[in-house]
Amino acid sequence: MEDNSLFKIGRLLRRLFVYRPPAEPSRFVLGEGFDDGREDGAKTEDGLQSAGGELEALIRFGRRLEITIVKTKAALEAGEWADKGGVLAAECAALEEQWTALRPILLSYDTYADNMAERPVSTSLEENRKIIEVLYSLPANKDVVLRHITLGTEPPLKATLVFLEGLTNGNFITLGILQPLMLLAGGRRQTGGEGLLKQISEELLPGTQVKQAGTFREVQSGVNSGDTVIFFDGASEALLVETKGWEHRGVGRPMTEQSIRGSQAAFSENLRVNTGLVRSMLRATDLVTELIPIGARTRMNCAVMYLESVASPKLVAEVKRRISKVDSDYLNDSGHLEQFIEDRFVLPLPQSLSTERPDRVAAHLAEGRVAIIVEGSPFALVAPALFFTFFHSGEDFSLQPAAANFLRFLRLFGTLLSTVLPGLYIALTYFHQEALPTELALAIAAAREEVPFPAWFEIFMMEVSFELIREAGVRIPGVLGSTIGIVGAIILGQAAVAARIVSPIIVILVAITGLASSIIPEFRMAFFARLSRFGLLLASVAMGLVGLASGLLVMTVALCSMKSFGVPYMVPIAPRTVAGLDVVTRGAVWRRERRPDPLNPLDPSRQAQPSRVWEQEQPEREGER
Amino acid sequence: MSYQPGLMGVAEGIGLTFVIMLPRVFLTSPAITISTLQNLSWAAPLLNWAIALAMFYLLARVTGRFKDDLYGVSERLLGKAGAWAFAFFYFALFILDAASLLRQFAENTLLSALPATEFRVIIFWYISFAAILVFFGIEGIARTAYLVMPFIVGGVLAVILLLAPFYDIYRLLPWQGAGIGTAVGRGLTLAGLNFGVLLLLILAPSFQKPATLKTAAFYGGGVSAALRTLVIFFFLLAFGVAEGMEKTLPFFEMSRLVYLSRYVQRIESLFIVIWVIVGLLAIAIDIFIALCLIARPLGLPSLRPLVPMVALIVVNLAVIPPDLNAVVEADNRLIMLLSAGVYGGPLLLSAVAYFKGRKKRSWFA
Repeated sequence: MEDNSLFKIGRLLRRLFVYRPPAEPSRFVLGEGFDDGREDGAKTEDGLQSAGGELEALIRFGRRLEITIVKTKAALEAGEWADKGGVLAAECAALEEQWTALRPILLSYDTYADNMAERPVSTSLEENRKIIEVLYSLPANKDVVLRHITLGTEPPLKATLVFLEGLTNGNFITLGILQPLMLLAGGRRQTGGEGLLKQISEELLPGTQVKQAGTFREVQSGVNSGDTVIFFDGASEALLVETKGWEHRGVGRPMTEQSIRGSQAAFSENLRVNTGLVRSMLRATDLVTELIPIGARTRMNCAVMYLESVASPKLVAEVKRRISKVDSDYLNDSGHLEQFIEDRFVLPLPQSLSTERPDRVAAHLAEGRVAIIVEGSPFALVAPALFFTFFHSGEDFSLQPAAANFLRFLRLFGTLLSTVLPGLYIALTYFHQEALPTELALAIAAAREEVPFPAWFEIFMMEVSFELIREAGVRIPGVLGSTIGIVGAIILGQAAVAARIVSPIIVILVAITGLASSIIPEFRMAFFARLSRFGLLLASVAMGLVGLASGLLVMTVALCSMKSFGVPYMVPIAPRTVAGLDVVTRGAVWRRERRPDPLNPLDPSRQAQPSRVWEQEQPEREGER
Repeated sequence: MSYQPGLMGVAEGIGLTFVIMLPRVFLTSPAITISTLQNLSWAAPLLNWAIALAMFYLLARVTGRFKDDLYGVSERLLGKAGAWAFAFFYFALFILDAASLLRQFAENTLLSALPATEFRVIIFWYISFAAILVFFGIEGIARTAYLVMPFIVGGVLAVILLLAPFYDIYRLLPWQGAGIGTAVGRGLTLAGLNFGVLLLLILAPSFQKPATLKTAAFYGGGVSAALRTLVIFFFLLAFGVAEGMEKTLPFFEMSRLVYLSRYVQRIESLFIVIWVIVGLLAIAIDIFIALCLIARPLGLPSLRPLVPMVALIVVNLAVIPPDLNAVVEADNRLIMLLSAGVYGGPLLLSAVAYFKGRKKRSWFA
């Protein structure tokens, strides 16, 4: 049949609508063609044949070795060594030569084993070196340094040092490892094994931390975290010497949680510095710092800190369980980890407190919470975190209660304003004008007289512009950011009013909501307020106060349904628990006898009652001394 | 969401009872009461609450004896088929209550807040948000109900206080109204207004102990009944019987009357927020309890898949009455039906428990 237009159209439609599986499985790597260098079936067969041959050679060697051992044993037992010793020594030398020839085959088998990281450290230095080369893609990878040395012992002992350039302290490696090993090691040495490693670590290595590693996973973990690994010929374990020495930022001032009073120290990217900062502020012997490696590939260290005599064991166990069960290749920040371990919920609300202030972490640990510090992240997580915690600032307890309470109410009022104000304005001006005083209604009408857009569009436009300026202000480098932000906002607002795109009242409204959202100390809570503002605005546009009330109700129910590490988010008001004096209002520090009840602390009492004991006593008089 | 909706305490119980019993104070119900009982209508909420509380305590005694929830007790006492019928009857009552409230709040919104909005949009809005609340579960709803309770009580009291210049004590005369006998009779038939209190027994395993339920019922229902009494009392003081009977939405009319100064002229719009919150919460609670009642006998592991379907049923039932008059009439009949629920369940189960107890004693004697 001829291929006419009708058939062409039919085929075209068929191609469009009828699914046909692709001829070849689709590739997910760009540029990867069909001819990707894979060997065809025949070649694979050849490979199998050669592999079989190699295996047979190894088996033949094993048999020969067994025979030689049996012969040697028999000669020694029969006392015929003098007669047969020469022959047997020659046989041993031949075996050694054969082994040298066969070793690459054995290594190649071992090298391409699937789970190389789980392999134990070999007694053969050569084999360990080969595995390290594969694990770290040597010689392509220039970060990894392999240093081969020979210790001047009797007999001499070969060793290989492995470390990462840039993560380690070169001076310490020279003076603390190489010098003692190469210059000071002398005399007879242990034959090998644990005795040898013990002798070296106790007599030769002056490092603060020297550990033994039995598997390549431990070796990798050590090398990746800045340790130097030393393999010794004949030893089935390697030594890990702490030589961490990478560049890092020092202890600076907090950038996002500034305070007028209180500590001015902030976390840096170094895990040990961060845990040290917390410990320097909470000098308790039962402050526990547990390290949990996360990430299947990277093994990033994560410190879990808690006061053992205070924190609820269930809470600690739950935090550790969640962290240890994170199965991900790579975590780059505490915020990244938080999403893996938080109680899942639809609203983008923070479920653990993120802080860069060690003093806040210490204060929360003293209350019975758990801190999580991720290697490389200058922000610690504190869990559980409740709704009202996000409206507290680091300096609340450095101020008098009246001042602190005023600020807290201001923050809560700011949050409410930031969330509700645009929606309320739209609801009232669109649907319920009778609620407005006549003068105000007339003023709004007059201001909007020449504006061509509906009020909701004005607000939406200005809110989006404000978000753009805010985001640009953060991204523009250096001090220019805030300047451009302020100038941009003023110019944009002024120009928009002059151009009669928006009314002045909208500029005021958007400025107030913008300022109000900035008053919230926690960035993520402020972000939630900004997002929910848009939601409530849309609800108000649709249904006025009915929409606003519906939106607020859903938000409240969602908040009441949330949990942070098993603790209800709206505690102590929903559900009701013993509130204490640090929820919305902040009581006098000397009246805060109890720790927060919802945390179920092991020791609920924080301080004696009364804590101002000096008031109960009479001061010493001059004459009584 | 499962049959264990969480752990709740007295506060949550108070919130749930308060919110589910309150909504009709914002609707036409007070005007109907006034038309029947006239000047003594303010006593009706107290009277019908006392009766409903007595029935609740009777039933709580039975459930407490078996240490089980309402369905579990009905299964023990009435058998499987009886329990099914029992659960379905109460399921129907809760669904009808939800439908009636949905329709009335939608009509109310159309009348007072959004006169230009399409009715179907309003009803869709309400049911969608109620369904979302049901998705979050009863624990969150109960806690929210307790959280908003002070604002609702404060708002209602504020309206009552701000109306002080309009009160005339002589409007309460004659204080017997249509007669004490009529008031008692009407009080008995209006016990259905407190039907919601039974939800505590349906959710009994979620509460800590039987005493929690009794305390929650007493205070939650008590505050609600007191508020209803106050609203009717002050409504009579402000409008009197003759004028009051003609008002479709008494509380709305009360809030419309408020005039403080030229800067606070009209506050009724702001009270829409309270109406919406109470209405949505009550509808959501009704739907949740109905879902529990139907899912339990069917042995369903989760309630969530049923939510859209039941929401659809509620909407369909809500739009059956053709106009507002029919809605009010249907609601009146529903209250009678709810009253049957208030009396029927407790009396039936108590009687069966009593006779079964006697039989058991006589067998083992």
